[in-house]
Parts: sequence; structure tokens; C-alpha cells
Amino acid sequence: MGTLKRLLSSLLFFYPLVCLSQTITPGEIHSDIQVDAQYYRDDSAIGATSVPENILMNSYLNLLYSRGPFSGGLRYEAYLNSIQGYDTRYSGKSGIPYRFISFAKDELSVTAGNFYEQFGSGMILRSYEDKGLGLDNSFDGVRLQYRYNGLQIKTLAGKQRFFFSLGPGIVRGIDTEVSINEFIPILRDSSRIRLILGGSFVSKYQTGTEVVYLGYNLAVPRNVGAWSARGAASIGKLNLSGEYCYKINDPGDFNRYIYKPGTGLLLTANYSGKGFGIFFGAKRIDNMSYKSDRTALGTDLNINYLPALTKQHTYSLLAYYPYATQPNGEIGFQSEINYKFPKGTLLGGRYGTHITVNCPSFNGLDTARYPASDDTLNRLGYSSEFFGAGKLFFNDFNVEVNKKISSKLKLNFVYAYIIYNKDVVQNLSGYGTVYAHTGMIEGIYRLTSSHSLRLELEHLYTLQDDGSWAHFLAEWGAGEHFYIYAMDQYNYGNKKPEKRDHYFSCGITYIKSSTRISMAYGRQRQGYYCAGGVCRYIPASNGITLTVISSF
Amino acid sequence: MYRLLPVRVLIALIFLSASIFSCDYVEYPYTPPTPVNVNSDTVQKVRKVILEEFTGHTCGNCPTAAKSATGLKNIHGDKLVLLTIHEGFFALPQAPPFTYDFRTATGTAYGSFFGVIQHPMALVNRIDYPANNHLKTPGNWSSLIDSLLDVPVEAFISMENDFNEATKILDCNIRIDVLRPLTGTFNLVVLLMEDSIQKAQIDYDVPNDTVQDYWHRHILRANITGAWGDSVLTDPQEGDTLLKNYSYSVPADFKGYPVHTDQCFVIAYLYDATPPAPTYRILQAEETKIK
Repeated sequence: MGTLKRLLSSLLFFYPLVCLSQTITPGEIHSDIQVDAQYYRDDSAIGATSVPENILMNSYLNLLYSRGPFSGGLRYEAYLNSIQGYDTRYSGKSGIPYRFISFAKDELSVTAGNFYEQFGSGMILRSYEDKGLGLDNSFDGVRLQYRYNGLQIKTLAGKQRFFFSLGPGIVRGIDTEVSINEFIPILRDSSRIRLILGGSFVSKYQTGTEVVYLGYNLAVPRNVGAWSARGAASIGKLNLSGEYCYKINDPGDFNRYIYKPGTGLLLTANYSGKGFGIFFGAKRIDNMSYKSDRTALGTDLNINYLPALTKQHTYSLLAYYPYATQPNGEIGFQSEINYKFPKGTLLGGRYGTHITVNCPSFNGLDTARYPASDDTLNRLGYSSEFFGAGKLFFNDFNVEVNKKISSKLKLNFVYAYIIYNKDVVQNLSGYGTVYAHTGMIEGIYRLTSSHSLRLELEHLYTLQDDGSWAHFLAEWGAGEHFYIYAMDQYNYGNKKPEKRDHYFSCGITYIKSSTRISMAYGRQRQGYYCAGGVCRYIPASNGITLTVISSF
Repeated sequence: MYRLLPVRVLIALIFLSASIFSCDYVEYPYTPPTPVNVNSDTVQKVRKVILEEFTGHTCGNCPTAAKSATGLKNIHGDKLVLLTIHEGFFALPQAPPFTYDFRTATGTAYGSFFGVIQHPMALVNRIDYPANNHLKTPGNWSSLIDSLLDVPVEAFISMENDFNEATKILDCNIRIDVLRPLTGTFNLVVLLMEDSIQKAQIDYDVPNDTVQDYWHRHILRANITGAWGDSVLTDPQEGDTLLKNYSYSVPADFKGYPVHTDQCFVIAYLYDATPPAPTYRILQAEETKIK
């Protein structure tokens, strides 16, 4: 009898919910998961070491739920312990560092919790996540976004993620963007001319009014503001854009507590026609590291992002000397021309030939340091010529040719001459500048409709640093779901004979639907992984790696 | 036709905009030093903090941090003990003039254990371990030291050294006075530090990035007890005292560089080594010249 009563009570309790579930749609839920695991072995020849845990693992799970105007999500992360090369401040930690709820209706959108945001090109505000870099500077706070015809206004306030806690500073910002076409009747329906203007203001707040630095007591600002103005125009096939930003005095460990204002300028122009495109970009950065903690260093707690203006090579040896943006000062440009020789011409052949010539170049600023005796009042640190260039940081002249030979064979060629100031880019001393010639040839041959073979040969020639390298890779696309590869990199030109090592590895990848599973075994050389001008050092390793990525 | 922006949205945006237009311009950043009563009387039982700075001779940003540490020493006097630990990539011997090697097994062990991957970084009484924010950048040192010096002293270390010039034997007599009841196990670490060695250093603050005759300060040269010290106290009560004596043969040189005994100090500190999860927090430090 008692059991029956409890059953009836339960039914009565859940009855309203059952009714409710019949009238309200359940919404949608999406998820993705990624697991990166690595088993480490000792390999003294390349300086690789095993780890007491034997296996290190980074894991991520994203959940996103949306229903009508509401959406919410979270990300669970676990670093048990973190893979070598990741910041050890992640190690041993797990939790939910990212969660949010959002409401979007008509012109208004509100987000509470964690969010990523970018104002303009990001030079005064950009939060983003990159698992490859181990970087996540999401905001935890509130964001309000309003779109009204050609007008978009974004405001936000929040603290930034700092591993599994929050940074000490509070960031506030507003961004406005106006599509001029919407406000000028003759341009409103024009598809040939588009004009956009925008502006942003960001301020960070951090407690503390005084620090001791070099034995001096220094008054430091609690509120540091930065603004930017930008514009973009597209006229037919020509696109122009530009952004200028300015930051007031922002002394911190990252700039050795100088009070010089920061500035940044980014200009780009590109023209694209049929079979032909040209791009030119120029950038000047001066003391524009902007962090929500004045004691932060490296990539910690960056409020802004300084866009990369170099080509991100994807082939292994071509990416051996990647450039990292120098937030304390750099000036440079990138130009690129691409052209497709039409089919049926001498150089175009039967299928046409695509050629790209790219050349980024970056120098330090032309600066003059104020002698300490002359800088006792304002502590500005140095003066800089706006158009002056100092020592060369990086130069990359590269040519890429893509040629389809037949319906089954496609060839790609790349040559690059890279000048790389290793001391500056990697913040080291004693390595000097590296001059490297790198060539790459890749052939992709389709054996059947589901089988293919890819061969990749690369060679890096240099007399500096670790000397010359050779690289070979063979990959077999075995059916619809499997890829199997073997590769070797040989540092045959190392000045130290005992360092002339082979880095052999092989692996298999299974792809089906939205699931990808990869397993590889072998050596991995030490080096820098860079994305968007931000880099992470990866130590040499020997072992087995496993990556699982899936979504639904 | 364009509708006007809803008034409430406009008000909200204006209000938010006004609140963020905040910039603090600092036109004259230098402020007078805060008066500090530098007490060098070691008989008075005061808190003494140790700053362990990780560095290397090719670390171009490290001299700036070293100046910062020296500036703090000038302010706090005997209340601050400095120890410079050369370890990691930046301390590797390299092409001339960086052929010399200040690394020690102890320093390497500390760097590895505390996860030092960036230089310059320091431990200040090793606080915040194992919360993973124990490595402090120079901007954090001053306020941290100030706050630690305000904490009442829990145990006091006194030290007397006797160095025999003929035999090069150093006798180190250490006394620990427990001033408050403590719970846990505490280890005593005794180290040899050599101050002021002139060798080349990369310094990004000078025109060609290299100072040939840089004064290296407070260099960790050797350990007398072992990197993690000797277990000396367990759940001590107020008024407990402990006497320890260590004998150490000072070598003629470290890795080929002669030892200048008139520039050598003994550094001793007491830290929390309570198993199973030691905090490594340093309760008290002391330094005394060997002669």
C-alpha cells in the first residue's frame, strides 16, 4: 500500500513536467571531444626523456545547447598530466573553465559567463582559444551586442582566464562598426562599393598604485585605456583596409616598466581578378603588449592580438623557422602575387598552372634609448622613428607552384629563402641570424577512386643553427577511411656529428564521418609550433601519440 | 525608414561607455621611497624572507630582474636574503665569453621540481606552491616581500661560522628558536653562496647586448645539507630550541673557477616538509659570511 502511495505521489509530482515536455521543443545539443595522449620514452640522442607518469594526456569536451533565443555551453578540460611543451601551470588540473549562457533576439544579444570576442583586427582586444598553442584568454563576464541595420555596437566587461583561475585585471570595452552604405542612399544597393568604419575603446583596471622596480618606487596606473579606429573599403575587385591603435602609459614586466604610449598600424590592400591576385600589407607595432596583469609575461593574459603578416607554411621544413610577432616593436610588410597560367598555354598546359610569389619582411624599430640620466622624469624608455627600421628580424621570399599533370597526378613545388634572427624571435642569445634555403616537392597520385599516394621531399640548406636537413614522407590514402604514413627527417648537416640524427615516425589515421583517430610512433624533433604569429616551444620526444577527435 | 534606437539601449550604452572611459595618465612615475626601518640587528627576532631567483648568463632580461632584486635588498637589508640560481637553457655554457658554468645539481633540481620554464622568475619563500603560481615575476616581488615581512616570525635562525683557512674546513653552527607552536615536519637546508663574481652576461639593456664584466651576485655554489635539507623539527612547541652543526670542506674551485672565500656566505632556511604533501613554504631564512 505504501509503495502504491509513493508511486502515485511521484506521478503527480512529474505530471506537470510531462505536460510541459509535450508543448515545448527540446532544443538541440551538440558536442565535440578531443583527446591528445602521448607515451614517452627515453632517447638521450635527441634529448627526449620519459615521464614518471609514462603517459601524458590533454582532453577537451565541448557541449553546446540551444533552444530558441537561448543558448548555453561549457567546456571541460583535463590535463592529467599535461603533454610536454604545454605550460606546466595546466598540469594536473581539470575542470570547467569555460561556460556561458546567451540570449539573442531581434537586434539584441546578451552573453553571460565566458565568451570570445574581437574588436576590428584585434589590435586592442581579441580573446580566442588555440589548443595547439595551449592558449585561452577568454573573458568571464558580460557581453552585450546590438545590431541595427548598418550599425553594430558591442560592449563587454570581464576578467580573463588564467589557466584554471582568472587574471587580476578587469577589462571593459566598447566597439562600434558602421556600414556606410546603409546610411547613404546612392550606395545602399551598390554591390560595387562597400564602405565600413569602426572604432573601439578598451580599458583595463588592476589594483595597486605603486611598484618597486630596479629599486625605484614607481607610480603605476590602475586604469589603462586603448583606442583604435579602422576603415575598410571595397571598390569592385579592390579591397582596402586599415586600422590604427593607441594605448596610454602601461608600465609592466613585459616592457620593463616604461611609460611610453603604445601604437599600432595595420594596412592591407588586395586586388583579385580572374586568375590573378595581388596582396600588400604593412604593419608597425610599438610597445603594444596589452595585458590584464602588469606582471604577466609571454602569452599570459593578453588582451589584444597583433595580427601576423607572414605566410604560415604547412610543410615541415618550410615551417622550421616560423616568425613570432614582436609586440614590443616591429615594422614590416608582406606582399603576394598569385597568377594562374590559363589552360592551353605554354606554361598552363592542359589544366593550367598556379603560381604564388610571397614575401614578408620584418625589422625591429629604429629606436634610440634614452640614457637613464635623461629619463628620470617620464621614464619613456626610448624614442622611435615612425618609418625607421632597425635590425632585420625575419625575411621570407617564397615561390609556390601548383601543377596538375593529369587527371591522376598533381605536383606542388615550393622554394623559400628565409632569413631568421633566432635570438630575437625565440628570445635567445648567441644563435645569431640563420639563412636558410628550403625546397619542397610534393606529388599526389590517385591510384583508384579511393586510394591515393602522396610523396613529399623537402630539403633545408643552412650553414647556421643545426645545419641542413632532409625530409621524406610517404602517405597512402588506403580506402575511404584510412591514411597511413611514414616519414623521416635527417639532420645530416649538423656541425656536431653526434647530433646528426634521424627522426623517423610512422602513423595511421582513421576518419569516418566526424570522427578522426590518429596514432603515430617515432621521434619528434624539438621546435616551435606557431599559429598567427604566436608560438609554443615543443621539446624533442620519442614515443607513441594518440589523438581522438569526434563531434555530434 | 529607420527606427530610432530604443531609448533604454541607448541609455545602457552611454552609461557603459562613460564607465569605461577611464585612463590614469602618470606624468611623473617616480615616487619617493617608502621609509623602511632596515633592521640589521640579528638578535632581534624578526621575519627574514628569501628570494630564490632563477637565471642564466645568456638570459638577456635577467640583469634587469637582478637589479630589481638588489634594489629590494637595499630597501629591506638583512630582512631579505637573495639567492641566485643558475639553471636551465640560459645557464648552459656556450661559445666565448659564455664558457663558464654556474650551474649546480641543486639548482637544476630546484628548477626542475618547481617547473621553471621562463626566466627571470623567482620563488619568494616558495609561497603558493603547489597552487602552480609559485613562480613570481619581478613586478610581484616587492609587494609579496612586504606582505611576508608583516607576518609574525614563527621560528628564528641564528648562525655562527668558523672557517679554517689552512684546512678550508667550514664549521657552521646553527640554532633554531621556535617562537610559536607549529604543526608538521620542518626541514633545514644549508647552502653555500658566493657573491660578486665578474663574468660576461647578456643584457638587453646595453647597446650590443653583452656586458663582459658583469657582476653576478648571490650565486648558489653548493649545498651543505643536500637540496632538500635535513628533517629537524616535528610539531615543535614555543620555546623549543635546536642546535645543528655542519662541517663542510670548501673546494678550491667550482668547475674551474676559484672560490673567493671572503665573498662566500652560508644561507640556511627552514621549510615546511610535512608529509604526504609538503608545502615547501619557507618559514625563516638567514645568511652569514663564512669568515
